[in-house]
Amino acid sequence: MDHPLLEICGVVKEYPARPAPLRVLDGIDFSLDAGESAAVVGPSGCGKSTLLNLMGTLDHPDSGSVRLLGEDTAVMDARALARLRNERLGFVFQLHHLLPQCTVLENILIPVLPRGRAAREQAQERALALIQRMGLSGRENHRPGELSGGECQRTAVARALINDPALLLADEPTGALNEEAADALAGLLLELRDERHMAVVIVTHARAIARRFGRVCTLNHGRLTREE
Amino acid sequence: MTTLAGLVFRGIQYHRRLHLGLAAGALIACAVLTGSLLVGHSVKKTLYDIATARLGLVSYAIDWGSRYFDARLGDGLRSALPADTTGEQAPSLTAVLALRGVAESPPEQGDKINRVNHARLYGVDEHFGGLASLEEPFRQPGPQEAYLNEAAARLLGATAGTSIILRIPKPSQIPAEAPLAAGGERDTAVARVRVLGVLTDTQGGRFSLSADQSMPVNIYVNRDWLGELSELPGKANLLLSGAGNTAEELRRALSNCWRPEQLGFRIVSHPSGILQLESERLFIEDSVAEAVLRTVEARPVLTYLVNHIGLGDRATPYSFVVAGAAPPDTPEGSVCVNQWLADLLGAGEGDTVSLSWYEPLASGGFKERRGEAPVHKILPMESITVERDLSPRFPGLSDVNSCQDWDIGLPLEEELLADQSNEAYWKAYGQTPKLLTTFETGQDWWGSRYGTVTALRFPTDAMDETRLSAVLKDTLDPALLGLSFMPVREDALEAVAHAIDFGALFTGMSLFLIAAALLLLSLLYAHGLQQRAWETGILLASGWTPARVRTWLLLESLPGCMVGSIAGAACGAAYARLLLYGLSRFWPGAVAGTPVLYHTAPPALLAQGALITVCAVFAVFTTCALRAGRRPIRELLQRDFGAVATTRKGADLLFAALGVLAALLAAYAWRTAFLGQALDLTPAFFTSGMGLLIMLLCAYGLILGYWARRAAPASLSTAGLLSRQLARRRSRSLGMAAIIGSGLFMVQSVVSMQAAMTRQPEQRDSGAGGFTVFATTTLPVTVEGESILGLPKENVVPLRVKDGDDAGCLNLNRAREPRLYGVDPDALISRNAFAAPGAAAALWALMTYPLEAGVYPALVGDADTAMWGLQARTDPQEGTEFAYGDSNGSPFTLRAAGNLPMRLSLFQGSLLLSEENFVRLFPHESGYRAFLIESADAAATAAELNRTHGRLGMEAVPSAKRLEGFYAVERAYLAMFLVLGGLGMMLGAGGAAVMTARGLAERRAEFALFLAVGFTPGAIRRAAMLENTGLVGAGLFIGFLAAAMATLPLLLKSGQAFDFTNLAIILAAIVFAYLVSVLFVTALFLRTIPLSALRRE
Repeated sequence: MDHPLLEICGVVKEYPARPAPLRVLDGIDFSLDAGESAAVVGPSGCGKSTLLNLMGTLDHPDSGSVRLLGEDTAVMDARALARLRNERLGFVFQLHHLLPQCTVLENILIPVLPRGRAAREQAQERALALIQRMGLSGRENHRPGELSGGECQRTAVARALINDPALLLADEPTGALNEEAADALAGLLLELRDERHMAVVIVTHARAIARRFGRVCTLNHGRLTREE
Repeated sequence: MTTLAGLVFRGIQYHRRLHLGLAAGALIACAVLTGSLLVGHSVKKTLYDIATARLGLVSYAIDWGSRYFDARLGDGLRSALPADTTGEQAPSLTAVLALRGVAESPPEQGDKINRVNHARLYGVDEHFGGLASLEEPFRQPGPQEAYLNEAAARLLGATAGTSIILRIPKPSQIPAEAPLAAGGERDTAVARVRVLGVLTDTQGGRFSLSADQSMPVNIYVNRDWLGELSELPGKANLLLSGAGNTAEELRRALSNCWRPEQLGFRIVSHPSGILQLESERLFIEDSVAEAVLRTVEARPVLTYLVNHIGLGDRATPYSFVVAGAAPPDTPEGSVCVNQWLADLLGAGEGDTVSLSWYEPLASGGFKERRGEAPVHKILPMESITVERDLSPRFPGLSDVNSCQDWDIGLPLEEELLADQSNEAYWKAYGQTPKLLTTFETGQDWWGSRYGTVTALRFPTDAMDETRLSAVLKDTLDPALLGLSFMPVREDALEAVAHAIDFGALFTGMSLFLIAAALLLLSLLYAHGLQQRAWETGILLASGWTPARVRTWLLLESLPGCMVGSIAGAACGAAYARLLLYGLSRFWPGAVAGTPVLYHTAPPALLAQGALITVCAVFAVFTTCALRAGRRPIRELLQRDFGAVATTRKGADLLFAALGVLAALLAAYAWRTAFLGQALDLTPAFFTSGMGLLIMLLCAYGLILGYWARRAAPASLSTAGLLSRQLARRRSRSLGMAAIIGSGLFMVQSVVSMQAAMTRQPEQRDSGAGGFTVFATTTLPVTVEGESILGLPKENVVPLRVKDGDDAGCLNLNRAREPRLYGVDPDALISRNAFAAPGAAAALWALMTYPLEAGVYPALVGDADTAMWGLQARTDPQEGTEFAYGDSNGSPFTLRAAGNLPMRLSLFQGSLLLSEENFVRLFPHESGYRAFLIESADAAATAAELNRTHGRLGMEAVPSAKRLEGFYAVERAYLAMFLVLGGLGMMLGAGGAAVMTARGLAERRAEFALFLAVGFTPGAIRRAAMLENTGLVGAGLFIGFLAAAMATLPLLLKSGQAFDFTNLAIILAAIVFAYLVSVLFVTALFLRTIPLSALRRE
């Protein structure tokens, strides 16, 4: 594989505002290989989440390119992007976004639903394994309302991993957790990175957590700089 | 749960309250829709029941109107018919003598005499009961016995065993206005009959051949007795047949069994060797004469009475003349005179005699015509004695001894009748003609719309009575005389099938309610989607395609929608019962007082209602889901819907352009309404109203845009914040204003459109045409002298009437042959009646518009009849055509050349034909039976007419009252629309509450912030209430202003009194409902403002 897993070149993103549009990303370059991890830090409102959304094809850049697995996402249609997200990407958000009507197991299986019956049956096994791996054994039939914040977030991580993604994007996953839970979750993500040889990008305010992910990039005034 | 279905199921379970709300919305929409369709079904079934009840088992009928055949024709036909196809029963057929008369309760039954003017008298035989009744046949009444139907019993206050008085007309076989018909006022017979019983609808009490659901007033008596009394012994004019035989079998049997004498023909054999065919109706129908003359050798003869025959200063008055009996060598245009006349005048061969005679006019009067002719021969008296023997018998003339006793329908002068020489001639020679000429010459002089042949003569060397009878049977098809069996049952069912679609009507009326339910549903659904937007976001982020997410959302909403619709279909029955109760209790006018019974809904109808609702609701859901799916995933995940929507300059330009266009349109419509000549201001009203509404909404949109762009510091005040909030989501604020404004506009418009149609009947351009009294009589009135009905002739316009179907709003069935009025256009042009100033000539001239042969121009009674009753296009060249049959049964076509311009007139439901064409087509419809009367005191004149002309079956009413009766239907529709529209607006208030809740939910954090920075909860609530009041108030104000401005020309120009009470009540109720719902939701929502809402920020 001679191309990076994720490659961002000259990405610009603006939001409409008066009197002039607000440029939150101003020529971002970034790349990441499989098995690598990086943390994006920066002040509030600097565009960290925007950058992560662009990496995860949840948004489109105004200019520049985002290439995933060597493919330019700009030329992909909505269906192809959905397929890409479904098969190769995993998301974890600050709020766990678990469906309240579904159990832990069901929430984890949500990304599998668009696939065929066979895939769904195979995923069941993986989901149970992930539940065990996330330390949620015995909680598979519980609903989000019956879980702690950390358990919810671990369920969200399991959901992100169910399709065995190549890239895991986590937007302040520890933001809503206490220090202990946050630390445990960060450790879990790193373990998973190593176990699954997947790339991980995490957006966080917590420097200590960021440093655990190896490469730390600071986003400020639309520019991304790598901390040594 | 590893399937989409499982996820859907879980979603329904978890969001059950939302889905319950959606199901409730679908239930309301479906109940209203299905209920409306069910009302239509019930009306149709009721009309069907009425149609089958009024016809009983009758399937085919011949209605010979005012001509009469021998009732034994029915017996002959019955025996000539083959057994019916089932072979189980004898062919059912009956001959009926149908007349219109007056019925009264006898004076001893009470002080007040109950009188029914337009009673239908049916002289029936023993077969009628079996055909007319759907139950046990009633027996034939004996002489002086009668059955009444329920309406007659109610109106007369009669029951079985009591007596009633009948005033029975004595119709003449000869048209009353024909030149030699018996003169004087037509006699009526008076008889007391004992009531045998009261027949219910299904016992034949409702019998009628008119495609009309209104209850007739029927009285059934013995046919032979009625025939004797009305001087039509053994006669009938209706033939009714059951379904046992086909129309073709009936036609064939009738062709085989009829005999000339049964249809009023007489064959007279004279010893001189002449066989003469005559008609009881005096004139032999042209079609008959032509058919006979085409087949056998015969000589047509026309006998007439001339006023004067003179030569120089000598003359003789009132002389019979014969055309067609002159010696064969008589040249055309020459005459032969008898010896007596030649002696009297001193005339010799070659002298030119002068003649004068009366020619009947369309108006019923006569015009004297004159002619001159050379004398070809003097005929000895003995050579023409045969003419005396063969002269037709004229009632009132042939049977009197003295000329002075003549009583015929011609304006004869007393002085001339007393002429001594003529008296001597009458005594010596009777009806022997004094002058004879060729048939062609006589036809040219004396032929009229009543006919040109009074007899056909056949030489006996080639013909005898038997042979002539056979020839006539072979030659003549009874259809030539109008004796054709009409498929009355088929026609009745057809009329019901094309009756007013009350299902569509009520669906239209309930549209507001349905729209409001769907709106509420869409708001609930959109609100639910918004609350769950992050779910959509997470699914999209997990790789679901947008289409799959939409499918999930729709699948989740489908069961609730289906359950709601199915339950709604069941509840539709309750809604239908409620509407039917409303129809009978509050709006009987809408169904012309017909009691409409609830009929159980067929499953297909329920399924139709449910299916339409499911489709409509699903369309609403799909739209919402599509809109929801357009948001970026980022927004969905952040649950961020409170962002300030940008107001684009392009949209402002669009608003400005649209507003200007709408303003121009409104101004044009206003100008047309104020300055134009149009009598109907409705189009102008709606055009200006819609224009104003759009203009005001555009202006509101521009204001919101301006507020949104204003510099922040300057507008940072409470009012500024309020306006900023309204402008924050311009499309939502504008949408709410548009919905509320349009709804209010419609409701207010309907109230305003309750036009005072019945006011100012004395005005020529009103629906009464300036005639303040409208009168009808059961018995025809002939116009003689200078007064009509005792009123000065110049104050009355008499109308001829050909009974037919009512094509107005009082008849729910589709009219097949609308009633015809014969109108003298000149009488109305000279008064400029029923038209805008100066427009009468052009309007009434349409009645004389020259058209191709067999097609006659007619005017439709009013604009509503043209548009709704007949759904007719009106144009002299391309107008809708109506097939009729004339008095002789020959088909002709009436073309709707135009219509009276007002929406409602005294002629509603009818077609107007020029009197000239009317009398040409219907010479047997003698006299006038309707009258337009000018009177300063309408009520007194009507009362006086009713009092003095009761014998004629007079029903005079002030025109305003007649118009009021017609307008009751529209008034009922408007009232229904108002109630249902009002309910829709109330339901819309629920929608406004949902929208308010949605707005408040989005701004929880904002309110928490206000709380955090020191606002009191009360202050926050008040601000929010003010803001939401502004949101709703803008819509109410815009709708009110548009409707008020559009109504202004209507009020000012028509000068009608307007009852603002209803409008005020409705408006107050709507404003109250909206404000209360919005304020209540605001208060409830902001009862507590949790600071936790700030945490997500």
